[in-house]
Amino acid sequence: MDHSALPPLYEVHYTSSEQGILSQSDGFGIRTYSEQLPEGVLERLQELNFFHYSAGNQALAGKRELQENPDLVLDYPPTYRLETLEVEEKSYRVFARSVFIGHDYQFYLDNAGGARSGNMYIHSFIWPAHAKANPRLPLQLLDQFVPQNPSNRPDNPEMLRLLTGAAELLPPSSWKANQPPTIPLRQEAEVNLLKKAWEGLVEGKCVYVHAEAAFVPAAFRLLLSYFPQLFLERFSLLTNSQHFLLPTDYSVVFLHPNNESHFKGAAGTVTIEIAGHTELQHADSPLLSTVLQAAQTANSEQIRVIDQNLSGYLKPGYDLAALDQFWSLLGFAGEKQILRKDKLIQLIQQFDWAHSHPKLKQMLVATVNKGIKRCLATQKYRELGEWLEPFGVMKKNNLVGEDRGLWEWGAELTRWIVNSSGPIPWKSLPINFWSEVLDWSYIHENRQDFFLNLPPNSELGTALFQTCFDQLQQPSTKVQLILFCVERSLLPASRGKTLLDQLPSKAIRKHLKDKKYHLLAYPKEHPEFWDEVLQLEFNQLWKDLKLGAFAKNFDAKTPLSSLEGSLLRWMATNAESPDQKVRFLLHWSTEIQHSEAIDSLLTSTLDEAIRDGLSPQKALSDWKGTSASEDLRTRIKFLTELSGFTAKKFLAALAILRKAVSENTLAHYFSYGLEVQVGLGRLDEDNLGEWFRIWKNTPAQNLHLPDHGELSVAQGLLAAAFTLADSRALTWAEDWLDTYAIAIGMVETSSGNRRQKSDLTVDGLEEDLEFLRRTFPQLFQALKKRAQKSPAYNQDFKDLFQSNFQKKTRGVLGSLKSLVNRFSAPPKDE
Amino acid sequence: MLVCPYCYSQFDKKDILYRCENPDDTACPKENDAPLASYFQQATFDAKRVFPAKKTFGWGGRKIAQKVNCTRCKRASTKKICPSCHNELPSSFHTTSSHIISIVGARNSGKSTYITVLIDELQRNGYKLDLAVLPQDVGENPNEVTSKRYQNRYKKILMEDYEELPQTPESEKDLYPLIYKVSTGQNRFLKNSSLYLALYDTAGESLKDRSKLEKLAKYVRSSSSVIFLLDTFEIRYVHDQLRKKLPGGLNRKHIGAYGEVIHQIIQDIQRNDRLLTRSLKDRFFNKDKKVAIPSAVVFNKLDVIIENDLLSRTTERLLSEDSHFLKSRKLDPEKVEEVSSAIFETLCDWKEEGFGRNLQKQFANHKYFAVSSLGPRFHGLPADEREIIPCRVLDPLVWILDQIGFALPK
Repeated sequence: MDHSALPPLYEVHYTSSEQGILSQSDGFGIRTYSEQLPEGVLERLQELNFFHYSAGNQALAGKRELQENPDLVLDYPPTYRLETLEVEEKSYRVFARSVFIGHDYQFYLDNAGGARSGNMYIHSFIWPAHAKANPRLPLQLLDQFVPQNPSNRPDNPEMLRLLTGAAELLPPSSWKANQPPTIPLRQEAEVNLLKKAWEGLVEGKCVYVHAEAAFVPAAFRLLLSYFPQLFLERFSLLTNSQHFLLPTDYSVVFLHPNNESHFKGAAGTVTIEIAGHTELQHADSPLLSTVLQAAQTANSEQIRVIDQNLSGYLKPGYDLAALDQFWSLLGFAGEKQILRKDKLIQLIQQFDWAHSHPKLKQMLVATVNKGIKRCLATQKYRELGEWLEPFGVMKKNNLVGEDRGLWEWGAELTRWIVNSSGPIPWKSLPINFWSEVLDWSYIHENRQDFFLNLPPNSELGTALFQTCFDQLQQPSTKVQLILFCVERSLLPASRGKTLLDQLPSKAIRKHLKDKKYHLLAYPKEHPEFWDEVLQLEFNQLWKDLKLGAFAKNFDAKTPLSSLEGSLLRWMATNAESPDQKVRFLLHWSTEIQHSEAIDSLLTSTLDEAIRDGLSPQKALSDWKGTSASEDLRTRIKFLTELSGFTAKKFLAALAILRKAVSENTLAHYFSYGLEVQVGLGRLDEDNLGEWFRIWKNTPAQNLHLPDHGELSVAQGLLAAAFTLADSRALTWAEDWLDTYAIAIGMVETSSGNRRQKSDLTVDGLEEDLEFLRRTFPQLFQALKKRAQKSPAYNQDFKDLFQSNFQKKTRGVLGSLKSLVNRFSAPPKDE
Repeated sequence: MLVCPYCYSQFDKKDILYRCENPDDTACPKENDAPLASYFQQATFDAKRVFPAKKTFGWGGRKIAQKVNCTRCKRASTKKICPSCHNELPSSFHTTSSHIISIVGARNSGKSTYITVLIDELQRNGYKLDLAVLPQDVGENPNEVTSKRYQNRYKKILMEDYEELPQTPESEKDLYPLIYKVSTGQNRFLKNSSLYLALYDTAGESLKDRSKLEKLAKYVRSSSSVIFLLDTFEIRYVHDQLRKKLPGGLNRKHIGAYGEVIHQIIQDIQRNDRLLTRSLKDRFFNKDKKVAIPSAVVFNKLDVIIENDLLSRTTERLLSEDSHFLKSRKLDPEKVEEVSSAIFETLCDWKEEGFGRNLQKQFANHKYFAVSSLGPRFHGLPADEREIIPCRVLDPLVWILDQIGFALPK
């Protein structure tokens, strides 16, 4: 079989064996795992305490009992776990079985009494949780777990094979999705289980099932067979739960009958207790989450309808596909519309268009279509705007483009606007109306409707534009209209610019931030547009427009599409000079937050620019970044990259920047730069003095100190240095100051008190205080004030003094003294 | 500084938190306790509200309030918890020294058995040294509090059913320490009259996995002292002698590797000494970089060694006697030294002098001990004929108690 064509299926085996594959030694450990098991999976499993079997209050059978009854191990119920594992931003499904298997490997080797009991076997199947994975795969795997028969007989060949001998990796394997078998419902209990489990889940609660151990595997199979695929993709389940805590991170938990702390059902029956106090942890399943939330708002009548439908489907011989459809549509289909509009929008926002049932998709489209058409027919303007909102949400989530044919109301909307008798009641339209109309138009690239149905620059188009423009009240909506028309050549760019210039710049910028993406896409088809872009290079409006284009659509991991990458490169290569190129790039680096792709492009282009003769200092000195939205971390990252990651160069860059940016901005750079440098472990005495000087010259209100939480030695040293140098940072080194404040308090206020004085005899304390008084008089006075608020001298203080002062504080002070000596006359400014 | 017996974090007593004890869940409902959930590796953990102690100053300095009112229901609570992991601490934890004693050994070295017998011996014979030992039944899991855990998982199996203890699984050990309060009527200058002991039963397998070894090393470096339990049968000389004499021979895989556990742990701690806080480092290592905490190097299965004449006559006579303090009712440090020296000489006789010399280079304060947890009438006998006759099991702990400043009669 060609394994490469099928999804991989990995295995991990854990037990106490003769040789573990990782430890190469005997005892508990990972016995073996599949070749090509993705990196990090084993570590993650170990972190999660995955390799574990608990019999709860039931004692594990000892050697004697096992010798008397080798099949005793079969009485211990297996624990099944089905869940999703997140490893390095990838998701895997894990299906595992843990069983008690009695003796360890020695029993099968020699049976000479050297064996120990208490062994367990955890067999896990792991596969990528991607879209093609069959969510019913666990049904296929249920019979594949080993050991199939852990009976403690010395001649048990399976156990001998599993537990003894050298550990070897398992060959790669894959799985083929078979049609799962149809499992007929035989008992009332089974129907009850399904109905109650569903009821519990739609109510958004964890479902705890207390059932006899023998029923659990059958129940597990039923849930996996009957629950909809949509739901099973993130479904998690735990059986045999004996922990004193009720786990809340599983969809369904089967409690072991011995779990006394929880529910007791009548003997021989299946009892489902739905705990009311814990919410289902379904945040990782957005669609399910929305369905459940929607269902929570459903009234009892709707629940009854669900129940009736369910009963109809839960009959022997049901059709799996039909059932899936039923489940999928349960919340949305039918004459009665269950979802409210706000829920519908929420659903659309989280909708997984690619992986959901086509029928469901159709339902969503039909619902929105129906709403808009009804509004158009009745000319309910306000409601029309409300219905356009879900459509806009779908568009923003890229759910519309490929299915534009499904939208039936575009032409009607155009006709309604164009043919409307008398003035169009713009004022009664909601504020988002235009936005949604424009969004709607955007998808109709065949330009059959509305503006786009008209020839470019046609009289009617211009007249209609002017009518609309005049009637619009909000400047930002006017901006939208201008840009929309310019973008589609319905309005000449020069005319658009003239109109834009008449509008308040605040409104323009506000709007541009929202529309950048669409505008950026336009030049792909109209490269000539970029001539205008270049002409407007130094116009802040267009600069924002093109450079901020990606801001809202990017995060750190978003790769650059070929279009975006080529556009950026195009812009960079068409810059007039290296300086201009760098300014482009600097702006990108701040507007496009945390984009690794942009950073990478930025670095490479910068390298080129510097090779072309641009000096970094020049670039920096020209750069005046004062935008409030600038991302300082990115800038600092850039600065440090530019300066080759050395503090010295970084500080040199900062020195240049002092002339270019505001003090506030400089302080930000400084603080974050300090953090970066400490993080890189690049602080040493040589550059410490530079930091020290800048610190002294930085206004207090601009200080943004790095987190105190992870003070390294260097950071601690700096903390002390800065604290001593400047009493503004008194709160920063709380413990340190406390100690000194108390010490000062003691010495200053208790002179003549013999007892206290003698207790405080610490070598060099007077000298330390004198050093502080002489070198940092301002700080010393502040400490004195603090001392007055400090607790009285007592036993606790002695403890604090001994533990804190002697070891920590004195060490810091010693380092500080050497620093002060080294930089005894720091210049006021460089 | 106090050391949490659960998560080993160090904290000041003023940082102790309190948990509401109001049994009425409607008046003061439970809420998710993230640190506790993290400790138990759960997504959530519903527990009563946590709030800080009142800061009180006055005569006698910073005090810890015995009762603090819940910030929601205002009901007074005395339940103290660790500020880091939110596990419940014994009620007087802040007033008494707390010491974690690590018991570390390779797989099959008999750690669980030793702990079982050690606690039993301490409870049965501790009074001879004026010691009272009380299990501290605190913790969120009512089924795993010290007395229940000890009874169900250790004592019942070994001392009531006379069954060998099952292997210690790796996954459970970390969550539930055995916590005891040891008190004495002795009142000696600069000595503690009570302390908390936290014992962990560790899985020997942990030494083979780097990440687990680090976890184990973290536990050791947070400890006040350590007991290294070594498998005497892994000493080459002993193994060679016994495999001929014992029925069925000896089933040992790692001959000669008996001391590896010590070097692995110490090396790991040295390698990661940046993880040690200054105070921990100062406590753990002396200025010569030797391990400064009291370290007991314990050889087990003494009964088999004696029975098979593997000791010199003098040493055999010395070690065959039970602990001297059980008779004299006071600790004689010279006797401890005498036993330690005799064991070292025995190691030399067994051509293991190099092991001893290496330890001298690594440890500033260590002693050798030899113990028999079960005695000669357990293995190889039917359950109804088995007896547990421990020998010298208390020696290492008593020496450690003395070394960490506990008042013992001398």
